[in-house]
Amino acid sequence: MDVALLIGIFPQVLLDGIILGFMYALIALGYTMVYGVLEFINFAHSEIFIVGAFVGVEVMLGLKSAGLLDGLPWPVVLVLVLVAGMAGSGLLAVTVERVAYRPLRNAPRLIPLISAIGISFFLQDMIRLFESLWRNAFNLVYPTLDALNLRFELTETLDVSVKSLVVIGGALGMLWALHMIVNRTKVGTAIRAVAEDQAAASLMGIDVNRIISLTFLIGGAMGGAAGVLFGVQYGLINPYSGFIPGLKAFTAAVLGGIGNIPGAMVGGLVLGLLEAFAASYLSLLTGGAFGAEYKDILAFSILILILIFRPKGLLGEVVRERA
Amino acid sequence: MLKVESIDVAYGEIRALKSVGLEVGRGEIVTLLGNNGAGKTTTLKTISGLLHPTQGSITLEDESLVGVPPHAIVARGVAHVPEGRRIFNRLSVRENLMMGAYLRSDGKITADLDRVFALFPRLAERIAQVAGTLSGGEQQMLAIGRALMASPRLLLLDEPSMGLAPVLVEQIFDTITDINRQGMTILLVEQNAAMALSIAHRGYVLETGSIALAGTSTELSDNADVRRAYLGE
Repeated sequence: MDVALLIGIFPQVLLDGIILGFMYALIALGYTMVYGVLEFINFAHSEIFIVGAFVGVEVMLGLKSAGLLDGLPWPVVLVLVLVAGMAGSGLLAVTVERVAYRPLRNAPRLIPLISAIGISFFLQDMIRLFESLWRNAFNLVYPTLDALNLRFELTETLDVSVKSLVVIGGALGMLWALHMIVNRTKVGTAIRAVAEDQAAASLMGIDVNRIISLTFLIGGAMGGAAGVLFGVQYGLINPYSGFIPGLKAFTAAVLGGIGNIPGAMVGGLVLGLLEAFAASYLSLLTGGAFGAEYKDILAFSILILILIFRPKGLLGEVVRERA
Repeated sequence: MLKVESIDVAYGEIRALKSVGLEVGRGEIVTLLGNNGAGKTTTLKTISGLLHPTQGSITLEDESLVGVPPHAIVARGVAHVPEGRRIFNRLSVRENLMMGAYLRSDGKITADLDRVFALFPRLAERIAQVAGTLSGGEQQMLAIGRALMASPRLLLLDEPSMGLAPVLVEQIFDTITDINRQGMTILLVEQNAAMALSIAHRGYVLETGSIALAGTSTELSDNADVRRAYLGE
């Protein structure tokens, strides 16, 4: 075993894990916020996420054909793409709630869940249909921005691209903004109040349906931002590439304690790091017996272990209530 | 101010209220007495829009409240302190109070906050604390304070004495009297009939979903049936 190598790749793996983790965290917020207010798993959130990536790539391709992609400063391009992706996913999430979930609000629990799975398939194929008609292809590649591919070689085994920094910075910015909205504003407090007790919230004058729409808007926008960052980071997207990250982000939300916003962030990071370390270290540590393809098995085994000992998740709420 | 006329309310097949009518005049404390399951809470929930009557009318200052969603009824000036207090356990005391003022954007919110703290100094001491960690009495104070933050015209109180030690019950009832003296109109639902009649101007007695008796507090306190059924004589 090459100990020097194991230590040498550590910073790079850590960086990859953090990037992946922030991506999961941003997606996980959509699951956890909706669960917080409705106790419902929005299984269409993985497609809401990937729609953000598609809106982003369309804006970039649009700018490219208008000759603006290299004409505009790259931060402007990024902000445009991010805002478009967030708006697209956020509005889509609000629409999905109105059309597919709200009419089922008082139905038995399983019914909206099935509706969500249906919406998930529907959106996958709608993206495919739309892109097939529009571009004659549904596997799309994010146009490269040269500035983003600039790499800094920090050490022999660690180099950081501008792209990675942008993804980390963007994700941190989103998480901070969300934290401020939820904890420091009146509507944010109202979201938490509705999450805790809808009837009591309505007795405060809070329009519960509007707060639910707002929750879908914010959760969807976070998913859309994640979609854009996903496209920027990994380049290739197709209508089905939301599914696996979505499932993992959902796991991250459960790991952190579903319904708990800081929990989703922590859960996302833990899962991203586990996955990155498993991918890089498994084959090195087992002499090649288990390759990187076993990363999910290792990551999820650890998750199962954590959940056995902390069934409510890492930050699962234990609020003592007194009569 | 509030006029409820012959409302029927049903939970599925079960009729919870049958032709209930009552009135609350400006500046009054009116109490609604009755046993468990008589329909007291149902009546309050129907007034605040959480339940819908199948028949009858509810008007506040001659404006109908039937079919108006709860959040819009708050906007009309009705604040409801629900049974079991229903404070937001995970929010701080300050956040709970600010949720009470959710619809307001006038400049008097801070003044009203001070007023609530004057009524309940304990809340001021615990302002940053998470509400779920308050004692039962403090939670009741918070629930009432939160409703006052809406600056309502009419305050609906559902069993403010529930689960509280007798000394705390007296404190809460003294405060309710104070709030009323400052001009608040109050509809009070209570199991503790003796306490309720001691502070109310008038009262109604609900029995299995219908009004059985109505009168001034003195009349009700002197009524032989009321004394036997609700005052433990």
